[in-house]
Formats: sequence, C-alpha cells, structure tokens
Amino acid sequence: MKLSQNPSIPKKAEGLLRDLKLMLLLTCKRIIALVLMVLIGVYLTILIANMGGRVDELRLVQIRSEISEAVRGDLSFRELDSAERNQLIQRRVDLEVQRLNLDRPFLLRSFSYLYRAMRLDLGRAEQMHSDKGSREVHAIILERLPATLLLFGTANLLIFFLSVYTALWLSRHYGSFMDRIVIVLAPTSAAPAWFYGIFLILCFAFLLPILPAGGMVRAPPPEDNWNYTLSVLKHMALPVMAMLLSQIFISIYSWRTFFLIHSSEDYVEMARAKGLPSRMIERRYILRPTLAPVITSFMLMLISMWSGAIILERTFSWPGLGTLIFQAIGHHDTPVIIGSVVIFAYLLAFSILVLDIVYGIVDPRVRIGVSR
Amino acid sequence: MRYWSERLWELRRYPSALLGMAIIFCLVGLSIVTVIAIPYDEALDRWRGGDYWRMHPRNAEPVWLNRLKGGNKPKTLIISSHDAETKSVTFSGGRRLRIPLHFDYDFSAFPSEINLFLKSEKHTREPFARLTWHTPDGREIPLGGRRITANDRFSLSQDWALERRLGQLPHVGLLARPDTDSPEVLSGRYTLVLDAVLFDEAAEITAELVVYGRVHGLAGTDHQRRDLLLALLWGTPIALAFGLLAAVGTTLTTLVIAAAGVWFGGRLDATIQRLTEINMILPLLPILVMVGTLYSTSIWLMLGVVVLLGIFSASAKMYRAMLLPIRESPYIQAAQAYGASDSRIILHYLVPRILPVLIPTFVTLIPAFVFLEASLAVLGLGDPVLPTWGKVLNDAQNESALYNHYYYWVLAPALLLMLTGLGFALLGFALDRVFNPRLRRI
Amino acid sequence: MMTEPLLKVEDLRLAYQTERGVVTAVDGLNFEIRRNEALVVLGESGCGKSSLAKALLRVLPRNVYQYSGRVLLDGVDIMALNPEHFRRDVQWLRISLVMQASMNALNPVVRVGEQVAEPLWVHRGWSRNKAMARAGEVFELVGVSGDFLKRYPFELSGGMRQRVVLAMALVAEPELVIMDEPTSALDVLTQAGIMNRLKRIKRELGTSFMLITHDVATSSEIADRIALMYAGQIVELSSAAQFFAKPAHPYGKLLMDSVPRLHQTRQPDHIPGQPPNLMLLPSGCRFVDRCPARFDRCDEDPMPIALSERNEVRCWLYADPTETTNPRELIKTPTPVLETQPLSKEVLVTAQDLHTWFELKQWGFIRAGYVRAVNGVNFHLYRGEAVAFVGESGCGKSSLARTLLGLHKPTQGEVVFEGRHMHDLNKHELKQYRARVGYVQQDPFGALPPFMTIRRALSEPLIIHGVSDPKEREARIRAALEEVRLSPADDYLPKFPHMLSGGQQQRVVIARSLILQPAMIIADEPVSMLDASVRVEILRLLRTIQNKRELTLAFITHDLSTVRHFADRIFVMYGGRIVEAATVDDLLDFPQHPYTQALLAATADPDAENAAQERELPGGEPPSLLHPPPGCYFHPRCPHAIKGLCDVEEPPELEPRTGHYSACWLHEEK
Repeated sequence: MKLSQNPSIPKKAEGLLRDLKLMLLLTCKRIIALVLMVLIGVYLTILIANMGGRVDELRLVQIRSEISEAVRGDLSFRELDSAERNQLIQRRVDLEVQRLNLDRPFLLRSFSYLYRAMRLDLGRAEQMHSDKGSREVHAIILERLPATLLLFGTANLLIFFLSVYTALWLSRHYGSFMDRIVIVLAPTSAAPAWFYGIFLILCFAFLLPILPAGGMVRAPPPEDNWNYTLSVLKHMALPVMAMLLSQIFISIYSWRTFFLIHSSEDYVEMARAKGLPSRMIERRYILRPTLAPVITSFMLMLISMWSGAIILERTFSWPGLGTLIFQAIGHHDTPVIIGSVVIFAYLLAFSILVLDIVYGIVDPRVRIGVSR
Repeated sequence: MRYWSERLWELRRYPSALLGMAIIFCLVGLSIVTVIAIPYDEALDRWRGGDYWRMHPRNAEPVWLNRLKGGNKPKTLIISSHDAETKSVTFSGGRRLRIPLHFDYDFSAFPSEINLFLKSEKHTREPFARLTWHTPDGREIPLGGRRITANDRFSLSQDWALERRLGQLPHVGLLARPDTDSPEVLSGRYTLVLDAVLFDEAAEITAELVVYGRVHGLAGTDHQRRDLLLALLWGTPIALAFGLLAAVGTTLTTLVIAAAGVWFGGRLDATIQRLTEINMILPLLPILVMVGTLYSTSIWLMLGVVVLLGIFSASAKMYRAMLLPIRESPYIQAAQAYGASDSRIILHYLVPRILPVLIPTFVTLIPAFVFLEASLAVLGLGDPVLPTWGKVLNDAQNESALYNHYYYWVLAPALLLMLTGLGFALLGFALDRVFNPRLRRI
Repeated sequence: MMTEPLLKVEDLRLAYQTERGVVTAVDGLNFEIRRNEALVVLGESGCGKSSLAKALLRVLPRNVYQYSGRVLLDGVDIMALNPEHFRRDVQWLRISLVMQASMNALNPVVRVGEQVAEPLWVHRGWSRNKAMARAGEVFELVGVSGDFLKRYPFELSGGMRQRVVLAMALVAEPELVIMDEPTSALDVLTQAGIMNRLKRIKRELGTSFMLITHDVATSSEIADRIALMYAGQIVELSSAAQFFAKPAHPYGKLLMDSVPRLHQTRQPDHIPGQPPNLMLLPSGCRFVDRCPARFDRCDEDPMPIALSERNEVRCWLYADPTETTNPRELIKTPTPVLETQPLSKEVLVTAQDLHTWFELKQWGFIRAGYVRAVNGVNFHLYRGEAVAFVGESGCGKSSLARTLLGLHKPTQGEVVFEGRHMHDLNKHELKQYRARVGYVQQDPFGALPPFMTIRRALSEPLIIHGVSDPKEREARIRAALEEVRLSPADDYLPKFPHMLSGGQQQRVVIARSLILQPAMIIADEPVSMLDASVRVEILRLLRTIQNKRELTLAFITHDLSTVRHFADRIFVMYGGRIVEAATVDDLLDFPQHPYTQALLAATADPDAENAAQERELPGGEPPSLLHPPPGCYFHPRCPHAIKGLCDVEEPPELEPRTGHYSACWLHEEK
C-alpha cells in the first residue's frame, strides 16, 4: 500500500538562478510600467500648465517683446515710420509663431512638448540662468539636483535605519520608559520639517549661534576638500535635524506598533517555541516578512519628503531644487517651474523603481507572484 | 450607533485624547468668536493695510512678552488736541492757535517713531503751523513750520534736517538726555507746542501726536503696522476650514471610489489602480506651485487642486487593500444573495466596514492640510487677500524677522500651527488606538 | 512495572490579564504522559486547551497574569529552568510543537527547508548542509518530496504545509510532540493521510504525542489516553478504550452522544447551554448548568476521584466508591426522532449541463486558462426534500451553491427554478428570485455585518424587497427569531453579532435566510465552524424548519458523518462534477464510486480501535480545476483504474442499483 504519492510538479530552475530570472523579469516589468506612468504624468503636467492657453499667452507676449525690442534696436529700421515698423514686427512675430508651431492646435503641440520633456529638453529659462551662465532649463535644474540629493538622501537613510532599529528594540521593550516617551512624542510629527527648521534656526543660529542658519557652504567656500566637507556637514546639520525631528517619532511609533502586531503572528510564536535566540527571531521572523510593508511606508515617506523639499530648502536657503522653484516663483519663470515638476516626477518614478526592486529582493511573494 | 458611542466613550481613558479635544474645542471656539466679532469683509479690508493702521507702531512686540522679559518698552501714546488746552487769539482775517500737546514719558526705551497728524477743515487758505518741542529739563527745540493740507502728516522721524541737527534719529534725540555718549531716555513731561495761524474764522484744526511705542497689544504688529492679532485670529477659521474641507474632500471621495473599484473590479478597478500609480509620481507641492504661479493663488483653487490630486492618492491603494478581503467576506455575499443592489452594497456594506479605521486617519489628515496651506503661504503662494498664519510667517521671513530679533512674529503663528497640529494629532492617535482592532490586540 | 512518566504536570495554572478582567485559561492541571504514549486533550473551543500547549512550551503572550505549577520532564522540573537554559536544552530538542492553523505557522519569506532545518543548526550546531540533508529525510518521513525543500510556503498546498510543519516538529527527534489541532482545517482525505503518518511515526520512532483537538473522531485515531477538558480543568482522564466505550463524566457522555456517526441509526443529541465564561468561573462544578445529572452536592467544587489506576473523574457522582453509579442511567435525554415528509415529486430546481468556469488572468489581461469550478452538473431537486452535496474543498460545491444563488452566471447550461429559466430573468425578476432562495453560510460571524445590530441585519432583506412599513418589518423579524428559537427577541434585537455565541449567530443567519419566505435554502457548510455540541442543534433546527415549511434544503458539506440524519439524498462531487447520487441510506451503506468508498473509509466514527490501524486511502491530491486530467477525474488516484479506458474517456452516469447513480466505468463491466 502506498501511503502517499508525491504529486508531480513541473521542474523549474531552483534557487538562485530562478530568483535572478524572476528579478530581471520584475525589473523589466516595473521599468516599462514606470516609463508609461512618467509619460502620462508629464503629459498631465503639460495639460495642467497649459490649461486655458496660459503658457501660450506668456510665450506670445515674450516673443512679441523680444522682437519689438530687436526691431527698435536695429539701426537699419530707423527710418521706418511706426505703422511700417509695427507691420514688420507683426510679420516677424507671425514667422516666429509659425516656427514654434504656436499656430497649430494645442493637442498636436502637446505631444511635441511631451517628446521634448521626456528627453529632458525643457526649453530655455525666461529670467534665470545657471551659475555657469546657461539658460537651458535642464542645465539649471541639473546643477541644483546634487545638493537636493545630498541633503534628502542623507536625511532619509538616517531616518529609515534609525527608526527601524529603534522600533525593533522598542518592540522588545514594550511598555518601557523609552516606549512611552515615543508614544507621547509621536503626535509632534504632525508638523512638517520646515516648521521645525524655523525653531532650530531660532535656537541654534540666533539664540545660541553655533551653527549656520542657511546655505550649503561657507562663503567664500574653503579651498581644501577637508574643510569644504566639514563646512557642508555643518550646514547640513540643522536641515537634517529638522527632518529628523519631524519624521523620526512617527516612524518609530508606527513601526514599533507594526512589529508588535506582527510579533504575535503564528510563525513568530512558532519560532519562539523552536527556541531560536531572540535576535534571530527579530531578524528572520519579524523584520524579514514585514520588510515589504516597511519599505512601502518608507517610499510614501520619501515621496512626501520630496515634496516637502521645496519649502525646507527655502527655509534653510539650501541651494537645491526647492530653492530653485522658489526663486522661479519669484521671477515668474514658467519654464523653470514646469521643468522642475517634470524633474520631480522623474525623481519620484526613480524612487519607486528602486524600491520596487528592493521589494522584489526582500519578498519572494512579490518575486514569484502569488496568483489569486 | 452604539458601537460609535461606546468607542468614543473609551477615549476618556486617554489623557492625550482629552488634551487634543480641549485644544480643538478652543480653536473652534476661537474661530466662532472671531467670525462673529470681526466680519469677513471687514477683516479682509483691514488686512489690506493702509490708513486704518496709521496709529500703530511698526514691528512692535506683544505687551505681555515685554512684561515677561521684565522690560519697560514704551507703549504707543496718542495725544489729541481735543484734550489739550487750546489758546485761541482772533485777529482780523483769522485766528492764531496755540495747542500744547503734553505727554508723560517714563519708559526705559525710546519710542520707535513720532508722527503728528494734522487735520484742517473749513478753510479756504491753508493754515500755517510751527512746532516747538519742550523737554522736561526746559529745553526748547524748534521743529520748523509748514502749511497744513486737509489731511497732513508731520513725520518727525523722517525729518532729515532735524536728524542732522540732533545728530541722532529724531525720535531718539528729542527724548534723550543731553550730553551723554550713548542716548539715554530723559523721563518727564514733554510738550509739543503747535502754533498755528488760520486764515479763516471758521477754520478748525485738530492735531494728533503719536509717539509710537515698541510694544503693541497681544500679538504685536508687523512691518505694515498691522495688528498681528487680526491675522492670528482670522487664521484660525481659515486653517480649520481648509484642513477640514480638504480632509473630507480627499478621504470621502477616495473611499467611495476605492470601494466602487473594489466592488466592480475589472476595468474600473484597473483604471483606478493605474490612476493612483500615475498620481503617485505627480509631485503635489510643485504642481500646486505651478498652478499658483500660472493661474491664481486663491485658497479655494488650491483646495480644489489638493482634493483633485488627493482623490487618487496612495490612500486609495490602502483602502483597496483593506476592502479587498471585505469584498469576499460572507456578509457581502449574503447581501448579494438577498438582492442588495450594487450601490447599496458599496455604501451600506463596504464603506461602513472600514469607517472606524478611517476616522483616525481622517483626523490626522486635517493638520497635514493646515500645514500644506501654511507651506504654500510661506512660499509666497498664499491667498492674496486672506489673513492666514502662513502669510504672517511669509511676511516675517521676507522681513528677516529672525535676523532682526522679531521672534514674536514667527513664534505666534508657529505656535498656533503647532497647537492645531498637536490637537488633531493627539486625538487622531488616541482614536487609532480605540478604533483600530489591530492595535487593540497588543 | 511502574515506569517513570516522560512528562508529569502538576497543578499547572495559566491566566491572562485582559481589558475586561482576568481570564483563567488553565486552572490546576495534573496529568502525565509516558514514553511512546499518545495523550489526547479533548475539549470545545475556549476550554483552555491551546493555552495548555503554549504553557508547556512557554510560548506565552505578553499579558500573562499567572503562570505556575510544576512540569517534570524525566523527573526534572523544567518550569524552574531559567529562560536561556529552557530555550537551549528543552525547546524543540525534547519537546516540539505543531501549531493550530499551521497555514500561518510558516514564515512566508523563508524557504521551507531552511525553516525545518533551523533548529538543528541553532540547537545542535550542525552545518547548514548536514541540517538540510536531515530536513530532506524528515520530509520523506512525513510524505513530502525533498524537491520542496527550496520552496516558499505559499507555493505549497495546505496539506503539504501541514506536513512540513509536522516535519519541523520531528526534525530534532524530540521525545514529546505537542500537536494543537493539527488537521482541523484540512480535507477528510488529507486529514486521514496525516493521521496515518502519525500512527506510523509513533510506532517506528517511539515518540510520545500530546494531541489537542475538539474533534472526537480525530481524537480516536491516535489516542492511548484521553484527557477531557472543560472550562480550564481536566474533568476526566482515562484510557481511550474506556472513554470511547463508556465515558464516566456526564460531559463526556453527552459529548459522545452529540457526535454524528456514519454507522449508527440513532440520532445524535446536542448539549444544551454554553460553557461558562472563563472570567467569571462559578464556584462548584463548572458543568453544573448543563448537566442533566446534577444534584445538590454539585455546588461544591468536585475533586478528581480515582476510578481505577490512571483513571480519574471530577464529578460528585463517583464520590461514594460503594455506590456504582452510572451516569448513563442517570441521564435521561429524550431523543425526539425527526419526522421526515415523504418525498414530493414536484421538481423545484433543475440543473442541466451546468458549467461555471472562471477566467484566470495573467499580467492583468492575458487569459491564462479557465478554472472549471462546476463542470457539467445535472440534477433535479424536489420541493420539500433535503439534499446534501458532499465533497472535499475545491470540488466545486461552493461554486455550485453560488451559481444556484445567482451570484455566478453559468458559463454553459442552465438552472430552471419553478419552471423558469434563470438566464431569462431580468434584473427585477432576478431580485425576486433571490427572495425565493435563502442562503446560510459557513462562518456565522462573518455572515452578519459586524457594524449592524441584529434588528438592522434582519431588516435589511425586508427593506431591499420593499417592505416599507416598520411595524410589519418588526413583526416579521420577531416571527423569524421565534422560528429559530431565539427568544425573547428583545434580548437579541439590539445586540451586535460579536455579542452572541457562534450557535446564536448561526440562528440569526438562518432567520435572515427565512425572512423573505423562500422556497429553497442553500446551506453551505452551516456547522463546520461550530463546536461539536452545537452542530447537531443547528442541523436539527434546519431540518425541522425545512420539514415544517416544506422547503427544499441544499446542504453542502465535506463531512459525510453529518449527512445521515439531516438529508434525504446525497450528491457526491469530485472535480466539479457529480460522481455519485443516491438516497442517504443507500449511498452510505452501499457506496458505488471508488471516490465515495475512499471518503467513507477516511471518515471515522470514534472508536478506540481506530488508533491501531492505518486507513486505506488513495494517494495524490484532488485534481487541478485548471488542467483537469483526461477521462475520469479520479483515475490518477483510483485503485481500480482501468488503463486505456478511465484515463481516456469520461465515464457515463450509470445506475448500478435502482435509484443509485454513479459515474464510473467499473459498473459497465458488471
């Protein structure tokens, strides 16, 4: 008598090889999906920006003023009377409008805008220029990007690791003094980072002047690398601290709660019954299965931080994208503002992609895919 | 209903919830009082600035703050000619008036500014006035003379000639003890004597001497002499309304849409899912900035955009994840089996099931939107006419308030914002513990 | 020879602190387990049996209020060991655990092989390879191929996961394995397969077992001894032979009587009342409220009274050793026999060639195939009869129910109800049709909206079907509650579902299904989530109502033993098809189809003999509904399969006995 037969299963590549293949597939799928998402997102941005033809109007005014200035300034047109001159200007404006396809319906043009935006050809700024003197919007933006990445990358990673590990520690010390402190402080995260920034500047730059109130590096910038780095670090201290203050308690609190909920899962109890050491239980049985949602919430935090960047940078005069947008608002420099939105969309999409891939690595359920 | 009342009754065990509710009640009460006491149009009109505030000092700090610091900074003194003993001598073709404007000055600091407002009426020819400043120690400082228009203003502080003569800012020099190195206040009774010649018998002249102080009211004033109290008070209902409307707008629509997507599934669900994903890469704040610069910075437009972008926010995914298992739950199948319609299932069976989990999220969302509005204002994209906390902060930043040590200017709106944030967050966290079944288990 | 017991528990107590008060889950237990002995702890839900398992292995929640007593393992008190010592020397190496609901007992993101091998490298310091090799051996032992070592839990079927959890418990060769409801969520055949494995392991490895279960039939499969638990106490401790033949405690007696049996014509009874609240335990005997043999002495707390060596009972009836009282004679429960109506010949429902397939999609839009949930089903249901659809999970019985309810549209074929074709119905008529068919579900708590009071939940169908007068609604709600014997109605109307017991919830669900005056009720596993003592009660209620109202009752179940007294005809389903149909007695006594025979072989009536023998079972798993095998769906598992016939051609429906239909080629040969 045969007690049981092993049901035949299709042989698949086992272990690492299979995982690699699946990861590659997942990455490709996500890239395609995200490119599509960016495409639609940017197109929506263009639509919003041009709702009611506002951008066109601005451009028309700009073209007209440029041309009339050129015509007035041109000596060879001195003799023309005003009527003739106006005619000339009109002719030139029409030509320019034709050249820029401004006379064609918006729907058609929107696609050419889209094409250009996707290639990061974001047009020329109206007022602003990069430090190197370029008026290309993408040059202006790319020049500011590293500063933003430095500040927000540092702060986010710091918050992420600090809060996850503190949360793990607290979930083990449920009800301890530290635990209660975190619960009490969690609501303080209702305020955004820039808000704490104001207080920090007040405290550490004015009342107790030990740290710089704004900027990214001392002026004039120090010559040698070591001092330069030191100066940047000093300037980073307050903004990073502001972000930390506004995010850290809520992150610790929510992850602590999350780990607590998950530490009553059956498989955690099973691991405890198996007599595994508590560090191993924490790592393998609490952290690993919950990494996916932890990463999701990190992603959401990242996204909200990208948005918050604008205002935090403005508070600390950090020369990044946020300050750029703020300056662009001041100058009413439309191309720069639209360009920044596009760049932000790219940044968000990229963050999502990175996290999707990490998601796939940490969670086999995502990688292998549960068919429902 | 009993479920709700029982849960809410449980809240009393959380002191944080009680504190949060107390804060919220205070803010709501303040809003109601404000809206009743200062009508909307009047508030807007005053906030536009200008003549209404001419008697107010610039950048004065709150009175209580000065007290707290133990300082003795001057208050604003207004001396009107109505209270003065006017001597009048009539002569042919006119009158000669001598109006002494007395005031006692015993503050430790100099005033921030001195202005004299003159009003002459019922005249055909403009009167002429000459001013003399009498100090307590008997010195007389002539301040010159001029013809007076119908509504005239003598800005003593901006009298360059006088400044040069005194060697100091006029509002310092006029009240300083003579012959000291660093200016020191000479306390005692000062008099500004106004000698006016009126060329009409019927003509009247009234004068108001304003010795601007360095403290004002409960909240101080800004660079345009506006009383910050107005903005702080009116900022409350605006912030609460914006936060509440935005939170209601986003959560309810998102919830219903997510529920519909989950229930009907298929194409609708897929479309909603894709829209959410696209929405995830649309940066909210930059888009608001874009809309603000390109179209209008009206708070209602911003609210509309926030709600519109919020409909397909990440929370739609969260609701979907919560609703998916509920969709399969037996009671829904039972409802279907006894013939409940689609809309009934969505609204009566799906949505109420996750409302308890939603309430805390909703409450914690309110301050998020309050801060969003403030953020926009700080970026200079605040509503052009409404007095809001964010705009106060923005003004303060533009005037480098921190650098100039006008801390109150930043602190008051910041504290109010913080209070709002804390109030809702405290309540929200407690609600979460009461309503979230997963939290109840630990 | 008196041997030293392997495990000796003395006065074990465990209580939790909860929001509402202290819950005493385990209240002074004393028992012992000898080497190579299997002790079954039998009890209803909430009697503290799961807490016992956790208490022994010290897997305690945070809110422990009291945890005391002595647990001697080979004479050493392991309760006194410090946590680190206990963890390293006792846990898993000497005592291991198979947890309840083991669907979740495996870490979803770690490969199962690693999870099984883990205790070896943690406790024994083995190398990874050596541990994995051992894990492979244990996999074979429990009947899972070593190929699955590198799989993740979600890639395994429920039965396989349960075997993996079992492998995990056995990997370090512990002396004692504690199993908490190891098979309760599994299908009949899988369950029997795992019990077979356990018997063999016990015989070959000499391991001791402690099996915790609520299911009397399962307990008889392995038990040497039985510990009957009630409200945190052991009320009877005796050998399996003794217990199954003649339980001493009144509770044991009633419990045995409430078990529906396959081969017994006597109707099972239910135990009235409910177990006491563990927060407010009554003084005196805890069973007193439900005990038919109670007398004045029951107000005192009974002490365990030894009946013979190693047999004891907590009941005052046995206090006087001179008087040999048998509770069986004391308890006089009337056994009303349900009167069944003669079968009418008016057809209510006809299913013709009914197919319900679901499209399976990949990547959201590409069709990956069809799940053939209902795959060609024909039957007539007559007015006023009760019909049981029996089959394992995944045989399509629930999909059939939902198709009959009009929740799924049939892909092919049709349902004719009261002479009308269902696919001809328009929206309005469909709604009316739904009023004619009531639905009773498996999970009574889930079937009631948790945010609605009973009144609201019951008025919903009425509101939907246009009963706008609140007075009329109230009257009908009260009448319905009366009919399901929930009275007085005022006690229940303002309550929320979670305030009622499982049995009461199910009554409300039945009341709701009746409130629109249906002609047919579809009950999908109506009792499988209820306690044994309540099951019979609900089934009897359904049967009574069905008879009184002359309803057609379609009763869907996986458990053949409940069918005998509560249905007139049986349809056995396999792989989305009906393989056998007959009247109850004929089918149970003369099963024709090999699958039905296998099902019957796997279904046990409680009997001490069960432990001695392994059951003969077909191997393999139920067919994939996505890619069903060609020919007869059962042929890959069928011991009598005819090569070249069964695996090629679908068998026709034959009639080997009069009125007894079976779809199998074997009957043709005859």
